[in-house]
Amino acid sequence: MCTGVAGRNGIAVNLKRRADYREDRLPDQGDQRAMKDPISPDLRQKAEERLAELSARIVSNLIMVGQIPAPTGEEEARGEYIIERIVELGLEDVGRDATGNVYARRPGTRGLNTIGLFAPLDTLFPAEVDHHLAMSSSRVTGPGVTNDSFAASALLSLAEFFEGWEYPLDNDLLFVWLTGCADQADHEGMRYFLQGRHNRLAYALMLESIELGRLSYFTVGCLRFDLTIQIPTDRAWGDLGVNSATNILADAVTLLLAIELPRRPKTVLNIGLLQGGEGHGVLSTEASLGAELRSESADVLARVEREIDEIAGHLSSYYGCQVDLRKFGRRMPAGLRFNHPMVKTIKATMTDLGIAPSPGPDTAAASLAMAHAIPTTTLALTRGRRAGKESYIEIEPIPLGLLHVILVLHRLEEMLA
Amino acid sequence: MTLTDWMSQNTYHHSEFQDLAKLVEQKQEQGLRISLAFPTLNEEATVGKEIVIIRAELMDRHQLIDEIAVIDSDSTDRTLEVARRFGAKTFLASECLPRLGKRRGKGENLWKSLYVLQGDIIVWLDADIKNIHPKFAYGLVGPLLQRPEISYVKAFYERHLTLENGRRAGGGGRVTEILVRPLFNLFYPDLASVIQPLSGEYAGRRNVLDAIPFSIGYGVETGMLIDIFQRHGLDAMAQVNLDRRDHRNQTTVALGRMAFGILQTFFRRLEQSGTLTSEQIMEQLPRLMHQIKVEGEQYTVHKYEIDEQERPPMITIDEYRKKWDRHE
Repeated sequence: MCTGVAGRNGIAVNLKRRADYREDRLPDQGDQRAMKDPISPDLRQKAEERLAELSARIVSNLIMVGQIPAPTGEEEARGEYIIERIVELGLEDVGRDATGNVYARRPGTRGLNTIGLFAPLDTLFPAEVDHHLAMSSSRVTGPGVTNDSFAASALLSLAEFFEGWEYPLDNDLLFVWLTGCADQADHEGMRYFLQGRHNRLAYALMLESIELGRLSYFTVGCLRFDLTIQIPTDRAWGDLGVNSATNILADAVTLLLAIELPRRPKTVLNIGLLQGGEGHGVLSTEASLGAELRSESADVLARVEREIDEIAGHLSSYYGCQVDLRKFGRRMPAGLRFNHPMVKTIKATMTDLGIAPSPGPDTAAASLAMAHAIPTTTLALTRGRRAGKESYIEIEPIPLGLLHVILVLHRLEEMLA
Repeated sequence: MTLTDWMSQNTYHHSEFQDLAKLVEQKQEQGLRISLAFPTLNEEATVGKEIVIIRAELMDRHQLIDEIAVIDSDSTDRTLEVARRFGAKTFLASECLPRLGKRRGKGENLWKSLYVLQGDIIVWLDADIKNIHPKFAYGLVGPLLQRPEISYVKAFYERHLTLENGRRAGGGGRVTEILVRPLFNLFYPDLASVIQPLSGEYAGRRNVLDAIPFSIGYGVETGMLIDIFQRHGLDAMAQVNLDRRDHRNQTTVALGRMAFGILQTFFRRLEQSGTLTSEQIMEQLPRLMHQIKVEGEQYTVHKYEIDEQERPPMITIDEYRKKWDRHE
């Protein structure tokens, strides 16, 4: 069994074309434009003052949003609350799509281009978990705050910030709260979004809760797969060696780990799950593994994928068993070069604000946008720690994180002028 | 107004007041100021969140609340630091009206808050509400802004109890149903219609609150209800369903102390009003008990005839003595 990459409505995305696009076009496009003047001190001061005015609302938004459970696939209640709030703000085109993504548009004075601001709507925690958040003078603690309730609430806070903001923005801002951002949902919200609206975005910023300084503008290619061995139940001890699914799975592991992987471009294969067997003396009839392949090269990704297919075929014919190979989570390498003006602009703004950039690959929804030729960068908003239900975000760095996003938006505006 | 009418007309759900712009307009039209205060004792874990939510939603986004304050009983944790950090005024109860000395208890903080707060309407919320939401404040303020004849509003909550027959239970907690409501039925039957007389969240007009005495400790809610009822009647009171309140559960032993304090307040009120003498007790104690039930979306008052008559000692009965050859 083999699965491709498809949105909820089954329309496949042409990943190969996107990979070519990234490698050939984005650097050229980027080098033609340059960042203009440094940040206006007046703009920065006004932004800081407005963020100070909104400080209680920013934390309140986190509590109000974060205490509404929104496990993947059940984001409706949180989405409804956000819609209620953005309607109050008077934003335009407020609504939700078939996957539950929530949208709102802030029209620019000229509206020639659109800059997208994205945040996940869903969290990893089931609705049964107590979602009450605790707050001390320095932290907000509770399930989902880091992954990614704060980002969702911060996007709402940014919409509030720009309500009545005295510096005009020429271009539209599109606020998008994405459903299905968890791995098991395969970023269905972003995939659905990209089928309809992606060609209207000049730039996209993906917001994450932590860790301030995160700067992700490229992604390595990725393919996840499950390999399941099933053997007939009527085999006897006489069929020594081919009568145990766990034995065959062990052989599969040996063969997978023997695949030759290059050091450059960097490529890794991680077998993260092994399941099977019932007891020491029991012949197992089913066993499975789950693995993830990552590579900086689309060619290497394709070559290793072929070898995995061959291993599955070999196991099936050699042992006479049923072998199911289910592939999912496919992403091609994509992204911006380090000298793309968007990246340079964001880094320069970080430097101006005293934020140490921490570049790294992005494997989330942003990579899908980049694969659709949308210059996209992922930024984080504050510091904190992921620790399950005890995860927390720090309150003190929040204004700095939001200021960074606001100033980046103004600089992207200049680049579009 | 009959009790059933009162229950129907003066019992609200917070959602009836969620149009905050309308509430703000009504407040401004009447020229009123609204203060909200939290009485605290070591509440650093929850008070910051309560202040942030109320300030952001009801002071910044909607100008419904004009002042947020914490009145503290010498907390030993960081309650005051957290409260100041998130923009509340802070007061030590022990430093307010020092000539009158200091006493320890929630009622002391509420009473002294009248001295330091500026509002014409005062909202008091306990500081240990885990699921704080703006509805806790606007739900209490709503009836006061919309009906000038109402002077005092009490919160009540859905209690998530499952009965054997699967029906939802109405009413209050253990101390309410075992102690306070039976006492109300005996001495102030009208107040038995108050669904949760011990809830810690309520709001009132200054000119009503500053004219009644305050119990210092556990009896503050009971005493306040009795005093306002006696001076202004049930028609001046309303109650609001705030859905659900998550907070620390008290042990039975702690509830016993609460009951003891409430009883003191009760008997002090009875003594002050000259309601009963010992000779009158057997003659005048009512036999009718009112309890609250939820039927569909309606809260209703049900009456039960409970006549707790006594039997004399068996040995005083002739037949018994003859049968068992027993003698007094």
